[in-house]
Amino acid sequence: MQIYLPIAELPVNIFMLLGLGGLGGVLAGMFGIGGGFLLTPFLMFIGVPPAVAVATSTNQIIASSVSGFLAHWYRNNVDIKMGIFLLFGGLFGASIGVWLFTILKDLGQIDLAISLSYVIFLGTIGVLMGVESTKAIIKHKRQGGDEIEPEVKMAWLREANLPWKVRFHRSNLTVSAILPISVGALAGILVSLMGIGGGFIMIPAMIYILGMPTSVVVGTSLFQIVFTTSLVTILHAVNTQSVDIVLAFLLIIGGVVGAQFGTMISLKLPSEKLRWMLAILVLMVCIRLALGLFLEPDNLYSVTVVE
Amino acid sequence: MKKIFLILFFFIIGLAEANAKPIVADLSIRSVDIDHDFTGLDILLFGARNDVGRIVVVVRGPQRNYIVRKKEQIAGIWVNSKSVEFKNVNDFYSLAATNPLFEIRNENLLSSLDIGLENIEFEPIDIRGGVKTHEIDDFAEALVKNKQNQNLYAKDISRVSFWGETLFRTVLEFPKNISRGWYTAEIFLFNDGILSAVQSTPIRVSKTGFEAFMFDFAHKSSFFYGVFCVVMAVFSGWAASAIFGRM
Repeated sequence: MQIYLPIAELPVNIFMLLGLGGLGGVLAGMFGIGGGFLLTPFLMFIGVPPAVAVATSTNQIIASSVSGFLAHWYRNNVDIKMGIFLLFGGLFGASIGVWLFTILKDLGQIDLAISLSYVIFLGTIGVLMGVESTKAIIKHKRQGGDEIEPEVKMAWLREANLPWKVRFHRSNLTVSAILPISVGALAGILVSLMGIGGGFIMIPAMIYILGMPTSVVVGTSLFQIVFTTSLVTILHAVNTQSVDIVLAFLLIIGGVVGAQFGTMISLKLPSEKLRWMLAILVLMVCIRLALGLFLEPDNLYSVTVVE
Repeated sequence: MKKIFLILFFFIIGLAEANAKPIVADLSIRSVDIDHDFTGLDILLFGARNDVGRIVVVVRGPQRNYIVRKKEQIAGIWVNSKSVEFKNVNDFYSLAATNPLFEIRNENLLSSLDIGLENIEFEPIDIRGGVKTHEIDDFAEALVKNKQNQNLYAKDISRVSFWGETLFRTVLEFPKNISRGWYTAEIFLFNDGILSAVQSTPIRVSKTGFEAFMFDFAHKSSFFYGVFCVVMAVFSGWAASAIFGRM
């Protein structure tokens, strides 16, 4: 059954979109990630213009982040104060990102910028995760022991004498406000350019750089993501008119159902094997995108209407 | 079709009064509505000539500026590097004629009227990335090819057929991906390489239904559209957590 997407201006099969959203949801449930980083490239593969894919993924992420945030909120796993500082940086970064996005679109380089940042980003994450999970699987086979707790790295950043120290009760730590604001800003730029929530960057940064307890990290990052993705959706809608509400809605429906299955699957599989599978998937998407950049295109010319 | 012939019948009767004009023509439909299951539309153009000559029908539609970009390999990666912006390009262009165009034997005239794809003048207004003058034609050609691949520029000239010596008809095909706006159907009468008559009829193409509403919403009140998208997503997220429980 075909449906015409009003903004992407292309007819697409409804069930394919529901399936795609569902797949994103399964991944979100399985790995506890937003799934946006895979959804955007998938949309590009089926012919959705990259700018629309990014803006619409951002819209879709709001929904999955709201339900994720609520789940953590009910369990009191959110550091609202830290979230507000992250958000402060996030809104700033997101605005810069959308501004960059608009400039690149006018220059005709937005498609390249999106693909390139995805190749770099997915390549790095995929390799790191692949190496880490392979080591964990080997170690698990040898020792059969517990999972390894993350070490706190980069402590010097917290101990450095940065001004504007703030006390965060829920996380039980005192750090310079500059740190969460910078982390939030970096994530914000990624939200606008890549259509991802930025949790991928924020969560490790919150653990390793800020030294937050693992229990509040996910809920707090989701809190920030809800607001930054909301802002970015509105900014994309105003600046580039590339948010497709019909596409977003179908992805959300698929995602909500998929997430339930994902959670069920994740309870049955050991986490290092899950991470290994995710690493392979990430690398496959990365290679597919990289081929598009390096192989000679069939048609060297592209045509755009000037609005 | 019955209706069309009825119109045609009254039209022929009306011709008696129109005898003074060298050509008279009309369309079966003058406004096209695009909705979600629009798959294209054929419009019948019919008319009469009261003079000898060859008939050419040109349908062209809303003019916009287009940027054509060319990819080049830079450090191994294919990047858009050169670009040419063309002014006032027709979104749509189709042609019907009684005889092949060369039989009109007046290239200059055809060129000044933009009749025939090879006679259209594309006007470059913004050239970037060091495109040389002789390369501009390649960009124009790429634009035409792109339009042809989308069925927006007709690859072939369709036939204008005669019914006796006076009455003529042709079918104008509008593809499913036609854009909104005003089009014109122009009927030219050429006699011995000289333009002896022109008639121009406007055709309106508009989108209707949900798609048109959303498209307008997104483009005309983009801020509220953005807010609406956010509200939709927040509500869906909340509903999901309410339905599937506090997991």
